[in-house]
Amino acid sequence: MDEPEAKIRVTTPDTEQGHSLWSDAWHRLRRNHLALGGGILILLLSLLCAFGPIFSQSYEEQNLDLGAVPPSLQHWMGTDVLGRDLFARTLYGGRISIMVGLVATFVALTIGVTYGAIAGFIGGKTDAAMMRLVDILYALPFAIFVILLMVFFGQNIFLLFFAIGAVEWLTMARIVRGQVMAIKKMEFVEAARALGLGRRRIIFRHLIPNVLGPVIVYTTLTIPAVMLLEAFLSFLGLGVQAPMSSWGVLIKDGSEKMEEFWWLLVFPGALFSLTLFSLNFLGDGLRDALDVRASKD
Amino acid sequence: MPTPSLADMTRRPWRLAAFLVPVALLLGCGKSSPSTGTAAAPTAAPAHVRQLLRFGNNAEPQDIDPQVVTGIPESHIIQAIYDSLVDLDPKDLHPVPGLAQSWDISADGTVYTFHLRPNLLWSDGSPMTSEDFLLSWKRMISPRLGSEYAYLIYNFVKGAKDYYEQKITDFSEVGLKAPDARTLEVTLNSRTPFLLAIIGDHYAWHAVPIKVLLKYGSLDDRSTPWTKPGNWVGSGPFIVKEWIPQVKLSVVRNPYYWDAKNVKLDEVDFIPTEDIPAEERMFRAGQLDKTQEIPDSKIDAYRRDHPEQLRIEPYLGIYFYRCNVTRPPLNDKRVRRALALGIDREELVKNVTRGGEAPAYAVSYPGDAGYTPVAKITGTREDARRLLAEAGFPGGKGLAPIELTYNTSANNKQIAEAIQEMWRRNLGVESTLVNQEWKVYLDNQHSHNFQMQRSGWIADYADPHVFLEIWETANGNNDTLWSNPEYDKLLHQALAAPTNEARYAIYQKMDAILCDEVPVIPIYYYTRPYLMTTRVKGYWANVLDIHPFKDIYMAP
Amino acid sequence: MIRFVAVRLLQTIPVIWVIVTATFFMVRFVPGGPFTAERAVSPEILRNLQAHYGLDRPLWRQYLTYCDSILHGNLGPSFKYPTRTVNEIIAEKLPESIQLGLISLGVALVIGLPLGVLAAVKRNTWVDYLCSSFALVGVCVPTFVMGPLLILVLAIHFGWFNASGWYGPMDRVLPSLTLGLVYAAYIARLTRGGMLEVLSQDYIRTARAKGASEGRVILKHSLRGGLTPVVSFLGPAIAGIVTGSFVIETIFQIPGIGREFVNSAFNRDYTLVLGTVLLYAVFLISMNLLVDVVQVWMNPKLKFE
Repeated sequence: MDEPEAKIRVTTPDTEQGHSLWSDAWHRLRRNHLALGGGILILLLSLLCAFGPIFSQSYEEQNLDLGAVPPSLQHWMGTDVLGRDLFARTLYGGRISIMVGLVATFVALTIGVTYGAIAGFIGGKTDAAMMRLVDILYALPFAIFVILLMVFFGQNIFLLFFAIGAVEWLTMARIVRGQVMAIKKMEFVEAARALGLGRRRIIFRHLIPNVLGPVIVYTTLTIPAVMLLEAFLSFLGLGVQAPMSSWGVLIKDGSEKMEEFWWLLVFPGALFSLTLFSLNFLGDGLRDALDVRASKD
Repeated sequence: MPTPSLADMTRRPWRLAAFLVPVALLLGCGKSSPSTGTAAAPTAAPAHVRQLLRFGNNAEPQDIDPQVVTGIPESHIIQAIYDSLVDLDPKDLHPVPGLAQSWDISADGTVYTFHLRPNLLWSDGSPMTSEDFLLSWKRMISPRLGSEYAYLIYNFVKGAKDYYEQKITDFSEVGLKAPDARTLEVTLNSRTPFLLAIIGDHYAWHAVPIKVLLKYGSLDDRSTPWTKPGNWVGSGPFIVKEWIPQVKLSVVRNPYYWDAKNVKLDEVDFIPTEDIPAEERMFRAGQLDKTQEIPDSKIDAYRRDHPEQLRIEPYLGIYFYRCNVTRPPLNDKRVRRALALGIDREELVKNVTRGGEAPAYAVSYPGDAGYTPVAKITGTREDARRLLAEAGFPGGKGLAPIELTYNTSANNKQIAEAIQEMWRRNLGVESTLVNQEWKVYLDNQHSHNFQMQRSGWIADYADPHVFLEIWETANGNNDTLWSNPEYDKLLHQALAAPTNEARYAIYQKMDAILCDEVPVIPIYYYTRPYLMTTRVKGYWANVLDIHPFKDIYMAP
Repeated sequence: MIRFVAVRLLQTIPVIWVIVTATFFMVRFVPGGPFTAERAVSPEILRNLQAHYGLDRPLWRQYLTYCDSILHGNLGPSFKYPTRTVNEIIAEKLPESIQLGLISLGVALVIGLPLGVLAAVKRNTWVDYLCSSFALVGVCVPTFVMGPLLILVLAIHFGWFNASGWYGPMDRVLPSLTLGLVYAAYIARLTRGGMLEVLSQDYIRTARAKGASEGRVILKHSLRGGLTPVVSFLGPAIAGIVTGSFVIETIFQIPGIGREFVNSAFNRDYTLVLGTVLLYAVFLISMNLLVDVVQVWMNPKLKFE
């Protein structure tokens, strides 16, 4: 008698291809629709601000008779007190704000994460000295620092990035240091050490990816803070000069007139908020994607 | 955990709602609540109305010593707590007797004799004598005290400048004397027809209680605690009751005031309101009876909804652009004149500043103590373009962008932006706008590190001399580096002129020089827009913003 | 731990000294001084004013005199307010700022922590999105917009509060709400991030597998680790919040020290600048020390180093 054919299909399992952290993360991110939405929105906004002004009206052409009129077909976002098209001004302002936000935050991020990771990992006296330096820089008066910068380097807009970066990296360093100290005693670090990996490798390839979670969250909060800080700096004379503007300045000016000319606040504010929300959801997605311990289900 | 799909997002518009909520609030607010006016005030019992004036006063006062302070908020408080030899009638600003019941002026106008009222008392009940005035003036011009307004005495009083510069050290050589307890004699360098105007408007000539001062230090000691509540003593209709820094300074009736029976208010609260939009909100919520300023964007709204609360009063001051005449192309007066002509001032005050300001075509203030400048910087756009071409910049070509600096302020920025556009459109001239923080801006002004800067000047007293003396070569406030010997000569001739007519004729010549040379570009004459409830009575508008508190009272 | 704290306190001495020295020289090199005024000040007056405040002596001498006076607890007279000393100004205003700061912090924690925890626990559900979005309002509506907005709605339209002022207990509500909402956003977001890190750990899985209730899992097992980033952030944040906020104090007319931080710089009031910087430094260092201690307590794997 013939033996019944085994109904069990034996399959050779696919050998799991070794994925790097980053490609893993990318795949996971792609599946997170909310984060993708956020990312796309940011991209769209950036493109709008970068190229939109080519097609829009002039941001500085004044029409004093059309001062502060509400949104209309001719001026989608209305005009400001000098009759300038708010839509154009918001787009131009977006260029400045997004650029400042991204660049300054990137600077702060790079310095802060590296500094904090080194301090946290090495610990001991080095950590103490590094953190005391952070304390010192924190306590120095910011307005005076900025005015001094302008005295020595002029009212250069690139100084803006430096001034903001110089302030924002401090909290980042503290957060990273705290995180690193929390995880450096974990088994995987011991394992890496046992394997004989050098300190630099441990810090950059093992520690930092694991502390990225809070860092990403804090970064998405830093970018809008940077945009508003830019408005304070323009008050001191650093930053974009009139007639150019930025979201921070538009929002500040608009807030003083918000009862009478609500569009001056609402539109730049809405775009600012939109950017912020997108950044945050993108950030959340990134955080989820990079979370090495997240289950694959 | 399953990740949300796009479909989920559209079905759950929470995120959209979250940031539209503030937007909705804004829009909702704008429609349903009044954006102007005061909240319904509780109906007061007709019999007794609380005589309390709540006065929005801009900044926290530095001090209340009239010989040390320099600001306008301080001047309001000082007006309530000190009186002067001479007061000014708020309706037409002519001098009326204050602490001095009468005065004599010598025939040549160089000797003033003041007769104090009998039985004057300080607010602690001690007698006020001419000695108080004499020593106060001595204090004012003592170099050690470092009073910034000392020049309002030493520029005019014989020997005072020498005493101040310590060329003489004997005070008895100065033209200030107290022949007896109720008489004061002031000897001037030359005829100074506006001396009474100065004494009436400015606190430089106020008396301080010398005996109280000496309790806490010597006469010319700065920063002694004599002005602290409890120590301080004054001469005005009110005395300081309470001073909580950054919260309020309240003053109540002074029973020892010589005119106490005519004082109607019981209390005045000076509230430092640094943030102008916040001040307007306080007014609307019924926390203030009078504000110091009003946000620009609200002026039209109040005009429309509550015109009775909006007050726009001409103010003795001018907004102008100062040129550094040593920096090309501003060293050529044709360029300066062209730039001046290229500004459409009517357009500016109508659509940009909107505060009812008067366009300025000359430096002197029209109607200032009866003087109105005849010369004006007028011309058409063609004139302007022609001048520019003559100077070598036809159509603005070849002209490097003019750097226009201004101190940070939304108003300055708007005006600068508007003018930048006007120059571009009318003249083809480009400019770069630079805003600077206040002290940096001032520092640059005094060190002449600017090409063109925005500036303003508020008069210390009502006389055309105030605006014209600035442009003398030696004047520390000139800062244009413009120097015209003819102008300087005329200034001194004017001071020596025998009559006001003769003096004013000379001023006309000086204004003509200014309009011809254009070291500064006048833009507009100030106004003071502010808010005041209709309950405040006994209050008259004048260009000096002088409102004697003893006249004011509150109606129901 | 005592040793740790003691060592840190010893370290603060050079830190404070560097801060004071750097600030002292920084303010002197900035253009404009305390007597730079709109009306030109004659050279004689300037000389006399400077002599009165000792500004005419060589810079190193002034510096040493100042260090000496600090060691005696005397922060000097204010330049802007001639009859007040810096000590007086701080003594008057600091309590108000601390009060505002603590209440705002309370608001921020009460709003932010639950939102963050909830968002983390219910990750990627509508609860998460709602909580996160609500938290984000505190960041995307800056204080100088939120403040006036709250005033317009709650104080002017409904009339429940004063538009400005710091007179009674009711006046504490709007300012602390405005300030608290911003910090709440940061706290919520950082808490969510931190909790997510912890919740995916193996030991949480173990606890759940052993049948611990969700509440216990959160409160007993995850919170300590999850709050690490928040605690790091809170160190300097608390120092900042109790030394006042310039924007809030200006909008709401609060007599706090926050305004003086900025105004003293704008007035070039040298002694007040130094006084406020010193004050902030002291708070900052104390809070950082506290935070480091708390970190170790929260995370037993850490040790005091």
